[in-house]
Amino acid sequence: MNASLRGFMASRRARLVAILVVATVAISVLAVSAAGSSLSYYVTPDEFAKQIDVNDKRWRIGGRVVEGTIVEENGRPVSFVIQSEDGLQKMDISYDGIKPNLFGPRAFVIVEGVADEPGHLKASSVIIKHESEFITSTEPASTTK
Amino acid sequence: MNVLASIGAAALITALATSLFACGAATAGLRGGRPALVVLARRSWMATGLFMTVAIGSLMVALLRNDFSLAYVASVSSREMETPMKWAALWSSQSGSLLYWTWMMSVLMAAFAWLTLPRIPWGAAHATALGSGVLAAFLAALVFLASPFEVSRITPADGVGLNPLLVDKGMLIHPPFLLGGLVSTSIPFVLGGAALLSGRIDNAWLRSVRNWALLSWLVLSVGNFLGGWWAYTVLGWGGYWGWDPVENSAILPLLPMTAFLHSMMVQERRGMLKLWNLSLVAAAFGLAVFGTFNVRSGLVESVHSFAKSDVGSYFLVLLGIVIVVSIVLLIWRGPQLKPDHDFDSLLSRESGLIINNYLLTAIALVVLGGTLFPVFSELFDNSRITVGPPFYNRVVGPLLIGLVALAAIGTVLPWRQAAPATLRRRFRVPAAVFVAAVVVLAVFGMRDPFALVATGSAVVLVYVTLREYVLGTRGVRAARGSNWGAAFVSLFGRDRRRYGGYLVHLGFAVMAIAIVGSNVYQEQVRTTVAPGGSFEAGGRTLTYEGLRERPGTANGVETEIFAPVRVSKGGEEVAYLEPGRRLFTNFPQQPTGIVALDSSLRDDLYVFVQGWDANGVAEFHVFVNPLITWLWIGGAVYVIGGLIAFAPVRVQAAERREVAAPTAHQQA
Repeated sequence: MNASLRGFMASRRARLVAILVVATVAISVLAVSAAGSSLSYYVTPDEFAKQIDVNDKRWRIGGRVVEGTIVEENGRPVSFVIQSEDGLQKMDISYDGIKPNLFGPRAFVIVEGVADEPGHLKASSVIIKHESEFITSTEPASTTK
Repeated sequence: MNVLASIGAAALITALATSLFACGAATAGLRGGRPALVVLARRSWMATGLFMTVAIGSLMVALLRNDFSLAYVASVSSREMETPMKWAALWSSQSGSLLYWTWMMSVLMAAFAWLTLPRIPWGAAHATALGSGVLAAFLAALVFLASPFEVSRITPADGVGLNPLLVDKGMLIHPPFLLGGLVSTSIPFVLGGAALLSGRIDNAWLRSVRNWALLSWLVLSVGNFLGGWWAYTVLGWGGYWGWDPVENSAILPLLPMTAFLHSMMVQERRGMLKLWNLSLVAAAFGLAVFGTFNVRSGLVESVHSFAKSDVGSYFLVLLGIVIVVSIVLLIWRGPQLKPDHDFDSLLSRESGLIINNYLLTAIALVVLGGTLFPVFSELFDNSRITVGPPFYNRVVGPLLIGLVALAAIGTVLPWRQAAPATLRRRFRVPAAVFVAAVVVLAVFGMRDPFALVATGSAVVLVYVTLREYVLGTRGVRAARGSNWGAAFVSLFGRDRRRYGGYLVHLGFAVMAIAIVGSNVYQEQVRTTVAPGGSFEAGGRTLTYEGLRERPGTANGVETEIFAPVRVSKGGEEVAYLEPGRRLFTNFPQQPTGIVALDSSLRDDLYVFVQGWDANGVAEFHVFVNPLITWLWIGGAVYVIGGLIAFAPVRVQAAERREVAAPTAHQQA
């Protein structure tokens, strides 16, 4: 170690830098380990259907709630079917949590949870996605010119 | 022809023209050395605020007059909506919120041009060129990509009405504060940019930026608090912060702004961190632009996000420009930004402030990284992987505890350096308070090590902060012989920044305690009850009385169905709560929940009814959230402290005198 480097290492600035480097390593390790345990894979129902092994991961799946498939228990949705935007791929969702505001038929939802078999997800959370145009099941009000 | 739409659209285009003119005239005036042009540019920049006020005013009038020929009005409002909700409709959707955002920016910039430009002759032209350029960029998005003044070919008889989720009084204050906070980061950015462009990179820009940075930080803080409060009282999941990508976007600019308010003191006192301070204001503005991009991009899935649109990609380009220009300017001036001093000691206030900045930056990077994780994973792995709330809680939690502890340590640490004996003396009592707090909490049954350290640190922060007030008051009394009350009040007059700042720390400590309490000790009860049945939650008995219906009166509410609950404790009725669900005429199958709360300083009984069957058998989800009220109390103390910390007028008068006598730094 030459003299100038030794001088730098002894300086207060270098000691502060060393502390911050150690802290950065610690935070990075913490972040990587925390991320590893809370990852979920975000897919469409079509992509989910193509997965071979679905058991070892958490999934987030976005789809539209199919009308007439919501099964309620005391008014709380316990299972429903979602479909991809093109309507070609459907999948069953079972859910055991809080009924989100605006949940209903044809709402676009993002469900998150684990899969126990292909085509079925046990969701632990359901998020309703905002849309610029809300879906109304009533016909638009009469119009005037 | 629609008069309001025409006035609004014309005002928008004029505002774009005046801001572009301001940018061009300031640049030309600067290059040609023609001060008259710079004066004209300043006026034109201020006029932009006026035209934007006309624009937003005409949209507001259109909303109030139910002018459904405007597509925007028809999509967010309806005849029977109450006036306050029509105000909320102004910023409830894509183009309206962008209009509000740009109007806010134009008004803040006009205020800045009026109040601050005359005090910064060294950089007035640069600030005008940069600020009006930024404003023009946002105006262009409004004029060309998302105009709220589009007229429908067919005028509907009535509008669709406000999105049911937004029919809430909180919508009247939460979005304006949050958007205002995001927008206000532009002023420190403009000042920092003016310093870099003009080469006046000493402390001159810092003196002018302080109140603007404080304003931005305060409004952002209030916006985030109100967001948490809104989520808590409306969404029904019993919490106030869910690490939703858009919540993250809202808190991101607050972190570098908070860091800046701390690190600017190091530059003022010790002439260090010059480059860093400029980087922080650039980062805050960059993150604010990232936030506006994020909600409109379809990049992240969130309860808050707007539908994917062209505006998203436009903002991405804008964000790219802000980042590249900031980096280029910082690299260009970097060699001139040398510190005046080195550290005297690691155990000094300035080191503490640097570690504070480090922690805030680390939190910002973790939150940004988590928010962008799906984007990165798609780039590298071709799969969209998201990280959930546990990630943020596990990583940000310890960093926040560090921040609380550091605020306590930093209050005690002296500037520069101190003899080891002095340090030992100063830290002896706070250390004892920490140990005592931890022991007492452990005796009372707190076992979670994180909760112990966090609460212990927060208690020490409260202690050292109160001690500063006591010592200061005693000092004033000794000097002037005034009574305790008068001496205490005069403290704030003597050093508003310091004693206001301590109050912010006090509020922060109280909030930290409330966050620990409500997270670690939350209880949940989920149960199905028939009418007349009872259940227990949080030491109370809840008796369900059967469903009741109340017809809706306004704002698209068809009907409200309640599941009233009598709450009793020890046989005595303590509260009557009406949780329920709200059904909307235009969205019949998408009800929202009505949360019922019984708050006390000890805990909140948070009752949410999931639904019911044909016989009225209802399912309740009850949360017992300890100490939540303290979160709002802490937030209020924090905000009051922030208000006190604004620089008084006489400091600004001193600045003006300094401007009158230019220094050698000043460039021609």
